[in-house]
This record gives sequence, C-alpha cells and structure tokens, in this order.
Amino acid sequence: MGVVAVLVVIALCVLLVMKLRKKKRTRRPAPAADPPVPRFRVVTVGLQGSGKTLLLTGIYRRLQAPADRGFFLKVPYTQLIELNRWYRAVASSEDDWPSGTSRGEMREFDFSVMTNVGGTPTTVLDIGYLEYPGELLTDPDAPGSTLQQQLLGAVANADALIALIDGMQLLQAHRGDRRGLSILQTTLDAMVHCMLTARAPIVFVITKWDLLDQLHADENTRLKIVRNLLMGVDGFRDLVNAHSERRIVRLVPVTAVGHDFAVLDGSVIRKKPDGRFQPANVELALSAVVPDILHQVELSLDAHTRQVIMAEAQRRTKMGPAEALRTLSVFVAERAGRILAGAVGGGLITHAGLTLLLETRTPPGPEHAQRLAALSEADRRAEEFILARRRVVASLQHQVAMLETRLPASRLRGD
Amino acid sequence: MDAQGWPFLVARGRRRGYSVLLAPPPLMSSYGLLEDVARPTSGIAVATVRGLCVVWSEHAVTPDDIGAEPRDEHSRPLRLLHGFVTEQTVTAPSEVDMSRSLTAALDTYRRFLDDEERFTVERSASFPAHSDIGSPAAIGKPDPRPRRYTVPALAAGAVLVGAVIFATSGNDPEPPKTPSCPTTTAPTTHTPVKPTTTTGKPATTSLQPSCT
Repeated sequence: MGVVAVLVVIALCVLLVMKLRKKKRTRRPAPAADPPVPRFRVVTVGLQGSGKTLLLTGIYRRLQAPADRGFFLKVPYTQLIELNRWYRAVASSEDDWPSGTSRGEMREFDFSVMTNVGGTPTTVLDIGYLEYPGELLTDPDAPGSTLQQQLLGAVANADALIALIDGMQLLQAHRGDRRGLSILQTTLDAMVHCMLTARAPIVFVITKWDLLDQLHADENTRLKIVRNLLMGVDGFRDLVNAHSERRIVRLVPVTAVGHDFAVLDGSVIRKKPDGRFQPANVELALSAVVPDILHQVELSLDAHTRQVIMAEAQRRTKMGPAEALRTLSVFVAERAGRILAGAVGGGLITHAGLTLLLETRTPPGPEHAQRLAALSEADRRAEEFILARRRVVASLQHQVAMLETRLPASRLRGD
Repeated sequence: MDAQGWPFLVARGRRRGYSVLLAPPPLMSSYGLLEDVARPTSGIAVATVRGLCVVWSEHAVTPDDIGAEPRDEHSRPLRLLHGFVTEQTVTAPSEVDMSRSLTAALDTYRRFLDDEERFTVERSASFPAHSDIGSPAAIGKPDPRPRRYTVPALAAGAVLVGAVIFATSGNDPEPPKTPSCPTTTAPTTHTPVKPTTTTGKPATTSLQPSCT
C-alpha cells in the first residue's frame, strides 16, 4: 500500500507541475510592444439594388495592393474568397450580375489597413465594413428576426457613414419617371432618418455613375446636374446643411464596372459582350471619410499609442512604479526640447513629462542606461506608428484632393 | 416514425426585398428566423432553429418558372431559397422532399409576383417526408472543444492504473523481459542470440528467446 500511496503522490505532482507550467506560460510577456490597432466601423446606407456589394468588392480590389498610395487593404482569407467570387461574377461578361445580398448574409468585412512601419508591412488601422441587404432599411422586420435592429444599431454606432444613391434612380428621376422618383425619395428619407442626427463623418456616393454618362459629355457638368437635382429635395438639403456645419460634405460619383461595361436596355442593365471592366472612383468612398475619422481621434489616438508602448516598455524593463518614473523623467528631460517642440504631437511624454521632470532627485540605478535605451526604442516605435498612420491619411486626402480638382462639383457644402 | 415536412420560401421579388413568403405553421409567429438562417448555398444546407430542422437549397428562377424574364428592377437575377422544416433531425435530405418543396415554393412565388405589394405570408401544408431522419441532437451540435487538462489527466490516470496493477500483482518475482519483434523481413532462426546495447557492447541481461 505504501507504494500505491507514493504513486498517487507522484500523480498529483504531475498534475501540479502541469498546472504551474501552464500558469507560467500565460505569464510570459509578449515579445513585441506594438500598440493596439484602432478599429473603426463604416456602414453604408443604401437601399436594395443600390450597389453596396459591388462597391465593397470594388473598394477591396482597388486597394488590395499599395500601387503609389503607400498603403493597402488586407482581409481574412475566407472573406477574400468571397470578395473574389463576387468580383469574378461582376467582371465576367458571360456571367449574370450577382443575385444580391440575402438577409442571412449580413456580416461585417474586416479590412486591415497595412503600411510600412520600420520596414515591415504592419496593420495601422482596422476598418469594419458592414454588408447587408438594403431592404432592411425599408421593410419591416419579420417576427422572430433581429437583423433590422442589428443594422440600426450599427448605423447609430458607426464611425463613418457612406450614403449610396442609385445612379439608375437618379437617371429615372431626371427623366421624370415616377417609379424612379419614388425610390429616390425613399432612399433619401432613409438617409435623413439614419444620418440627420449622426455625428460621424458622412459622404454621399452616386453608384452606377456610368449610367448617367448620357446626361452630359462633361463629367463635372453631369455631377452639377445631379447635385442640383438632389439639393432640390428638402430632406437631402437639410441633411447636407446639418453636416456641413461640422465638416466638408462630398458627393462622389463611382462606377464599380466602368463606363464601357454595361448598357441600359430599356429598364434592364445588361453587360456588354465585349465590355471593358474598369471601375472608377470606388476607393474614394473610403478616402472621403477615413481621414475625418482619424482627424477626430488623432490626438487621443497618438497619446494612447504612446501610453501602450511606454507601458509595455516599463513592464519589459521590470521597473517598479517609482523607478519607472525616475527613468522616464530623465528620458523626458533629455528629449524635452524635441518633444515639447511638438514634433510628434501631444503624446504621453509631453503630457507626463512636465510632471515627471519634478521627480528627478534620485540618482539613477545601475541598469539605468539599459532601461533608458528600452524606453527610447519604445518611443521610436510609437513615433513610427503615428507617422505611418499619418502617411495613410495624407495619401487618402491626396486622392480626395485630386477628385476635387477634377470634379469641383463633388463638394456639396462646407469649409 | 413518419416525419412531416412543411415547405418554406424566402425570396425577393421584382420590387420587394428578401422576405419569407411561405412559412411552416410551427413558425408562423417567428418566421423571420428563416430569413436569418437561410443563406445562399451551392448544395443542400441543414440547420436547426428552435428545435426544428431546416433544410434548404437555392434555386435560380427561370423564365419557365414565372413566364417572364427572371430579374428584379435592379437587373439582378431572381433566386429562391426554398426547402422544408421538420420536427425531426434530417440526416440525409431526400431529393423527393426538395422537389416537393420547390413545387410549393414556385406556386407561392408566382402568386407573390402577381401582386408583391399586397402579398402576405402564406401558411404551408405538410407532406410526408422521405428524408432520412436521425437523432435530434446530431445537427448543429458543435464539436467538443479539447479539454484543457486532458494531458495531465491522462498522465495521472496512466500512473494510477499502473499503481493499481502494481499493487494487485503482489510480490511475484519479475517475469523475464521479452524483446519486441524485429521489423526486418529476414528469416528468423531458433538460435539464441545475445542482446547487445546500442553501443554494441554485450548487455547485462540474460539470454532471451528470439521471436518466432
């Protein structure tokens, strides 16, 4: 029996050791000190058939490679497969148009905005892009379904709203077609309801812009015609006025297929057998709102980025709070000239530094230089992230500026 | 046990968006669940909703189905998400059942297209299901997640089993060890061989019989 007892004790010891090893594993510090990636949610507001799915596909296809922008988008592989499937269906002259999104297909696509940080492609921003069937905005929810509530919640909490106006309905309205006018009015009503009180940046996007080519040969004149039509609608004008008090409101014409791919045959849009697939302006839907989002949160974002990285640096150098303060204060004092000059904005060091400078009475410890180096590295990394994000924003703003140069009518109102 | 199936249909019209057009009586008060669960699929899909088994597939509407070009006012092709609901679990959906549900769905769909604005959800009539029926718990049950303490528990169990075997074996002398069978295909001999260690030196154990 004594042997049995010994073996039972051994078994218990095995359990204990495994548990301790597991705990030890979970306590192991993270190898890197990259800041958390901020996530913003973008929701399109568009009725059924307005082109939400094609716009989503077009945005990704356009921005999946850096080109001369300095950033690109990445999606999870399962979503990539789906986007590519849609793209093939749209781009192929032999295939029919996609069937449209069903209620069961409502979901968020995850765009990671990647750019070069310290020589490595790194995610500096995450964008959630909600895909849903447009009828959720107009039709009552069936008993038992919760999708409409989910959508309205997403719209209310969105960081940016992209309002889609169907070019086909604009064309019909321009021609005086009653059905077109009716749908256009419903579209604008839905936008007023969802967006009038929203504080998030908004942009109006005219989809199927290629169908409006027949309005006028000059693109800016075409856009003026459409703008005048829209601004003649009370609700829309009020919506633009309300938002332009805070920021510039834009009207961006996009075509997800190009100007030589589809043709209006009576009331049916058909693909040309030999059409050229060349989407235009699709990425501007994002470009017009993302800089606004980032601008709003830039200072707090930068401070947060610094806080996280510095906290990680302190943890990694195993300082106590008092020691961390001492080291930080020296660090700040050494760099105060540059930091306080505002070269990188109001980050942690600037903010905390003024306080910390008062705490520098105690002489540094033996590992002072090593710790100082760790903090310096962390600060450099923080700066890289902040500057990388700013490069992305600058690139997006550049695209919008180019649009405005080419199409001055795209600015609805605002300074 | 004879299973009953109730057809259902989720579809969009030329003007109206996706909605349930044909609903099983057990779901008349919550048929919106079907809209949430029925997604486009390349084959036949099965899911459970509130204890009911939902089986569906996608059907691209043809001109023959409706006597007109099957497009909505946005030029998109029309499609149906149709199928049936049972109170039992379907392990192998029958083509007969799917065909029957499609027939019922198309009847409803044609009536819907005639007057989309005033159409209201229809209640489906049951039919005897031909699909294979299984255990209700078999569908939609996620795979058990690996347990966190599986390895230590197994190790401890093995030690305990060893302890019990050891304890019940009393103080009998240790039986002679037998080598494992060689994997070689070379013919074996009955000549006793002297085992060696990996270093080639003679082992300290006694001579062992060879495998036969």
